[in-house]
Amino acid sequence: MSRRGLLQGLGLGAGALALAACATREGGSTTGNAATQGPGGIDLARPDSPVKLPLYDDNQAIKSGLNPEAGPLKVYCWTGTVPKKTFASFEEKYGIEVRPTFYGSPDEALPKILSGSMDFDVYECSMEQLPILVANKVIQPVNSSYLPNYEANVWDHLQSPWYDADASYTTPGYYWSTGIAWREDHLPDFDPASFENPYDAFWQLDGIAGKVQFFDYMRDALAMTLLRNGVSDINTTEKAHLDAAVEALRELTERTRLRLSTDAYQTLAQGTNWIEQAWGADVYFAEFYLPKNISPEVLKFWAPEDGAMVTSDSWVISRNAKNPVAAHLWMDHLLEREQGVNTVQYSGVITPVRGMEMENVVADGIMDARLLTALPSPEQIANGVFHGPLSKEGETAWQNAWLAVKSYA
Amino acid sequence: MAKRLAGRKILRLSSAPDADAAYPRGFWHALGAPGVAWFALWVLVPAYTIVAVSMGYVSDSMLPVPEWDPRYWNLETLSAVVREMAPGGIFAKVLMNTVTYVLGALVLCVLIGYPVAYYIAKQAGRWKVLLIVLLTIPFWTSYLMRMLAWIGLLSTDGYTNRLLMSIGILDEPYGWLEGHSFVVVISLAYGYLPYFILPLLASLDRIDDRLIDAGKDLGLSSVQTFIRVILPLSKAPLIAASTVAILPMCGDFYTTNLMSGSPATAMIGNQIQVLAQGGPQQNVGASLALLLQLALILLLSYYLYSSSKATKAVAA
Repeated sequence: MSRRGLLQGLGLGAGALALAACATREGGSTTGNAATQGPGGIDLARPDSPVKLPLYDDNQAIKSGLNPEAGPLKVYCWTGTVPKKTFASFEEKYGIEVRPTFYGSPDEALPKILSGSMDFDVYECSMEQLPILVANKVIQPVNSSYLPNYEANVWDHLQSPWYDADASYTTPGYYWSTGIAWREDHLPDFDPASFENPYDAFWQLDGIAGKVQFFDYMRDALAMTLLRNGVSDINTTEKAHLDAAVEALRELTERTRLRLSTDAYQTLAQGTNWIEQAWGADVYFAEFYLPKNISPEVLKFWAPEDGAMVTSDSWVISRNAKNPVAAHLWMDHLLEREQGVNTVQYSGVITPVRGMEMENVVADGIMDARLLTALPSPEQIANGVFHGPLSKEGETAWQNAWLAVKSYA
Repeated sequence: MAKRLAGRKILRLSSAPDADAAYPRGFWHALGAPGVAWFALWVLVPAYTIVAVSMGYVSDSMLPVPEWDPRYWNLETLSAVVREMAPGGIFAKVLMNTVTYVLGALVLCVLIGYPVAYYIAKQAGRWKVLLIVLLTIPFWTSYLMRMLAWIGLLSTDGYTNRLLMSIGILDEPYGWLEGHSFVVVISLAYGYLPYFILPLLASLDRIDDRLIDAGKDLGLSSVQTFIRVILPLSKAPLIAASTVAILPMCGDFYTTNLMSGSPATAMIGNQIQVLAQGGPQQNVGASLALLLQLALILLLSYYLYSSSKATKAVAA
C-alpha cells in the first residue's frame, strides 16, 4: 500500500466520522418498567411471582388432530443431555428420523436462534431465555392435546410452572443443582457443613491455590458469590450487591489463582482442581474421567437442602418448525419415565416426572447411592433459588460485573 | 548493500508487452471475479457488519440493531470502549495482557523460529524437503487439538511433571495449568510458531547466497557476516513472519482459556467472546472487535509500507 493510499483510506474513515457527527436517528428506547419487566414488556418471572407468557394473534399453536410430519425432526439441544437411547426409541416408536444438533451452552445457542441462522424444530431452552424467545416470536405456543404425558406424568407443582404459567410454550426439561464438589483424597478434613456459610469455604480454605475453579458461566459464578456474601436473591440487580460479588471473586482470584471453566467434571477427576463450583451431574460425569487407580468415592458434592441453587431448562418449538406435530411428539416422548431413567443414567440430571424423585432413583437402583447428594431432591427443587430472566438493564449490570471479573479489572 | 548497488544498471527479465493478447478481452477479470466475490461476501460484508453493529444499538429484546448508514452512526459506544482501555478502565488489564503476551510469544518465535528457518533454508542440504514436511506436521491437526494435547502434557500427573521429577529437577508436580502468564506465553508461541517459521523460511530461502559469500570474501567473520549481511536481508522476512503470527495471536481467546482459565491472564479476545456471544451489549463487543481490527490493519499497513519501501530500495 502506498502512503497516499493509506492516507486516502484514513480520509474515508474521517469522512464517515464527520457524517456520523451530523446525523442522528432514534433507537434503543426502553419501554415499560425496566426493573420488573424483560424483553417485550414481559414481566420477570420468579418462583414467588409466576408469569403467564403472552400469546399473540399472529403466533398461534397448531390445531389439534393433525398427523405427524415425515421429518426429519431437527432437535437443538445441549451436548450430553439427551441419550442416544432416547433418540433411537423415538425413531422406532414414530418412524420419524431425528437429526440432533448440539450446543455447548445456551449462551452460544441463543444468538444463532435469534438471528434465524439455526433451522430447528424443537429446542432445549434455558429458563432465562424464555421471555426473549417469546417476545421475538421465534417460538410457538404448544397444543396440550399432543402432550398427554404432561398431565399424566409431570410433578404436580410443574403442571403450571412459575416461568410459564399454564405451560403455554414449554414442557419441562431437566433439573440439576449447583454446589461445591471436591476431592476427598486431597481435602480429607473438608466438610462444607462445618462452615457457618459453606460457600465461604472457597475463601477460607488454605493450601488450595491453583486448585480452585468456578463456572465460566456468568449467572452461576456470580450467583454463588452472592450467596456467599449473604445475598439470597440470586437475580438481584443492585449495584452494591454485584460490586461486592466482583470484589469477592477478585479476592478469590488473587488468593487462589481461580480458574473459570466449564469442564468441572474433567478437572476434578484429573486432580487439576481439588475444590470447584460444580453441578451435581459433574460428579457423575467425573467418574468416567478418573484415573483407574482412584475410587469414585473420593468425588464429593454438597448443596444445601434449603436455598440450593437449582437450574432447569425446558423444551420449546420453533415458530418456523417444519415438523411441529413431530416436535410435540418429541416433547411428550421425553416425559415418559423410561426416558427419564435413560437420561439420568446418561447425564446425571433429573426429568421431573413421577417415579424420578431422587429417593426413587436411588431406591430403584437406577443410580448409585453415592450420588444421592448430587441429584436434586424434590425438597431442594421446591425450596431452591433459581436463575430468573432479567431486564435489559439487569442483564447489562450483570454483564458488566462479569466483565470486571473476567478481566480482573 | 543497496548503496553498493546504487547506480548500477539492473537487467531485468520483462515479459512481452502483448503477452495477454492471446486471451479474450476480460479473461483475467472473469478469472478473478469469483475470488473477489468470495472475498467481498465473506470478508468485507462481515467486517462492515461489525462496524454497523458497533455503531448501532441493542434492542430491548436483546437483538443487535446494526446501523448500516454511516450518516447515523453512533460513536458513543466506540468512544466509551476506548475510554475503558485507559489505565483504570475495565479493558486496561486485558489490553496490557494481550500486548505483553503477544510480544513475549513473538520474542520466543523469533528466538526459536529464526534459527530453525535459517538452518532449513540455507544449511539443511538434502534434508531440506524432509524438514519442511516435518514443519507442516502441526497443520495436520487443528490448533485446538494441539492445545488439548498440551493439557495432557502439562497436567499435574502429565509427562512434563513426570519427566522433571524423574531427573530430579522437581520434587513434586508443578501446577503448570494453574493460571500462570508464562504458560500462556509459551503456549501462544508453540501454537503460532509454524505460522511464523513457514513464511520466514520461504523468504530466507530467496536470499541470494552470493551476497553472503561476497561478505565472507571481503573479510567478514561469520558473526560479522550474520550481523552485516544476513540480518539486514532478514528484516523484511522477519516483519512478514511476525505479522502473520501476530494477527491471529491478538484475537486469540482459547489458548488462555485452556492453558490458564484464570481471569488474571485474560486477553482481549476473551472479553469479545463474552460480549459478542449475546446479551445487551453486543455493540460493545463489536466495538472492541473493531478496535482490534483497526490496530491490526495499522500493523498490516506498516508491513506493506516497509516491504514496499524495501522493494523500491533494492530496485534503485
